[in-house]
Amino acid sequence: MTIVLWRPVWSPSQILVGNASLVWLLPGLVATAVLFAWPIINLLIVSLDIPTGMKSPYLAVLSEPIYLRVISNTAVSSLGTTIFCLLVGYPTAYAIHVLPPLWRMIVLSSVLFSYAVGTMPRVFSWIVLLGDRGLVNQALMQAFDLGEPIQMLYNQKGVIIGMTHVMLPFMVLTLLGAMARVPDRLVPAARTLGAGPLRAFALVFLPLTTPGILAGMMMVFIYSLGFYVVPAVLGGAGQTTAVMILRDLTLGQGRWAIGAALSITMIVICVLGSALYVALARIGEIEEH
Amino acid sequence: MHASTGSSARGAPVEVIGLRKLYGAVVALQDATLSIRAGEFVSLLGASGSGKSTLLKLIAGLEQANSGRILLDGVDATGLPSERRGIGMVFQDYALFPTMTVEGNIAFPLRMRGVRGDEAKTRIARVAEMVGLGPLLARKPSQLSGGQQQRVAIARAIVFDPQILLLDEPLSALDKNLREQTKGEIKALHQRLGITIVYVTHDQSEALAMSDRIAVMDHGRIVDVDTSQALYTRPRSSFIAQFLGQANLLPVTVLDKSSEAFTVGSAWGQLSIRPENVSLAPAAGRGERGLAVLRPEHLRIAPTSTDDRKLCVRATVTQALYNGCETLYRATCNASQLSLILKEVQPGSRNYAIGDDMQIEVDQAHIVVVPEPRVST
Repeated sequence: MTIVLWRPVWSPSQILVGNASLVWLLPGLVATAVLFAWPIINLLIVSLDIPTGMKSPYLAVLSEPIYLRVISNTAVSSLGTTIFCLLVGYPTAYAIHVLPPLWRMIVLSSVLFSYAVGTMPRVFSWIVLLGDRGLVNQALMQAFDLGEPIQMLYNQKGVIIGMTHVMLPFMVLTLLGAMARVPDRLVPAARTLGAGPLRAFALVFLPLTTPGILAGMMMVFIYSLGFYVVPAVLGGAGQTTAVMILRDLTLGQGRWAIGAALSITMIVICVLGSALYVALARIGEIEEH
Repeated sequence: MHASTGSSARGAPVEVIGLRKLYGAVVALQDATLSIRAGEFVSLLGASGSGKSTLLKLIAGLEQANSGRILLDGVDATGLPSERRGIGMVFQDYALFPTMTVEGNIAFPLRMRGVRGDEAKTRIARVAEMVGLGPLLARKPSQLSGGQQQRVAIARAIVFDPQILLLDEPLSALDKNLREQTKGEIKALHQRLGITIVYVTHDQSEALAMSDRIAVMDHGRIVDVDTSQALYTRPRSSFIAQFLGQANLLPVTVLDKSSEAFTVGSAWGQLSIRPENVSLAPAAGRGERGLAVLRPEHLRIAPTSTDDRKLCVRATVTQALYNGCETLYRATCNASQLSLILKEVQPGSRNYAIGDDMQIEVDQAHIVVVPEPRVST
């Protein structure tokens, strides 16, 4: 089966039906090829095209502690963000799911509103809340008579809190989609068969939303790998992420080969994450049939 | 009768007292009172929005009533959550768990009751055999046909030996032939298990065929409760008369009443009605108005030369629908302009075409008189 993209278009109706409709994909495909695929191929070329006698930048990436530390730090922050997004997002999504329609709309709009506010204001608002003299610390110090504030910013905790906040709407919306697909009568059916509310949820509802859990986790994780602003503002000097060091290597120091190698390494991590998701999703699908 | 395993699965009575359910400002059910005997098969029959599904959900404990009480096996279960009522329920779309196999689905209520291992296996095998699911236990619900899914739903609802089984339009998703077959199987299951069944349907033929008694529902109320035969042959309201089967309604006025017969006047002249067929208010006397119910099968096309003692009316055929075993005629009565429906069984003696005149003989023994419907405001 071949997909013919360049078949001449005979009539307007043919544009709209069958394979001919693929013509409409053409601008997107061209843009993807020119603006996305080609730069990545370029990166690959730059990272591999090393003058003889020089050692491969991949060796540097994989052997120098600084890069490994940055990569693992980025991965840990992303993983932490993913886990917290799930822990906060699932109950949130479930609450929205079971609300009566009007309330569902109100709560959902507030979730979407926080998304629409954008990353910058949300990140800076955390400084007001979590800083040494921020609201939370002042309250804690007064309440528990602490001598000094708890360090909540400028470390990985702060990064994960900020990133979780930024990524939460994605998780909630993905989970809501999955929950909406669970047939209405399954939980009531489980109840009539003798399951209490908790067991009906755990044995019937939760398993049916696992595709959404996987999809949401994968999206949050991969998106979080590329964060720049949040760690920069809330992380402090110790929280260098892959993107920060990439920017420094390329735009700051002009070390393009090692920058390219680090980029490719991050891409591989993303692809592995996606592959894991696809594999898990497929297992789910096979179980279904 | 098969030997039951240990716990006996006899039926339990269901008592519904003055149940009322509101959804916001909408009254879904009002003053529903219904007494169902142990082991009885009762259908809740009504159009969509009549409150029948709401009543079923209240009995199942899936919704809580605004007022009224529910007694299950004599025990007040009004506030009890669904999982503590021990009622089996088959949902309209079966509500099978898609992540579990057929066996997993049927095992679910047993798992909830701590029944596992060999005993669970034995009981699953028993109900699977009972509903004819044997070789399908390892499949997923998505791999089954509608009819097979329905069997799984029934097996799952009876495997834990409930005393009460609720069925919510279980046949509506099946095609016609399968529906006929399944009707018989559900009835047979009822006889075999002896449990109380409450069956919700909008299909009068299902209700008539299977039920010991039918509760007819309309606009959130139980309009009438009685056996199939009583409701059909002796309806107590024009709503029931028209809802169950077809009915010709002829306006009548009471002229005289005695212990032997009611004499009523109509556009067709005087009719003599058996007192037990009259469901006007007890005080109804001369001048009281009502409607005579004439079932299509009680109108007979008479040969031209006819007996003077029988009531005959002349009518003009407006439609003739041949149906193999019978012909359904619609005719306009010349005297009253009443549009009649009548059935001629064993057609063939003579075919009437549209516009033909026919003479119709009325079997007065079967005529029932009901009150005129109150005009609701």
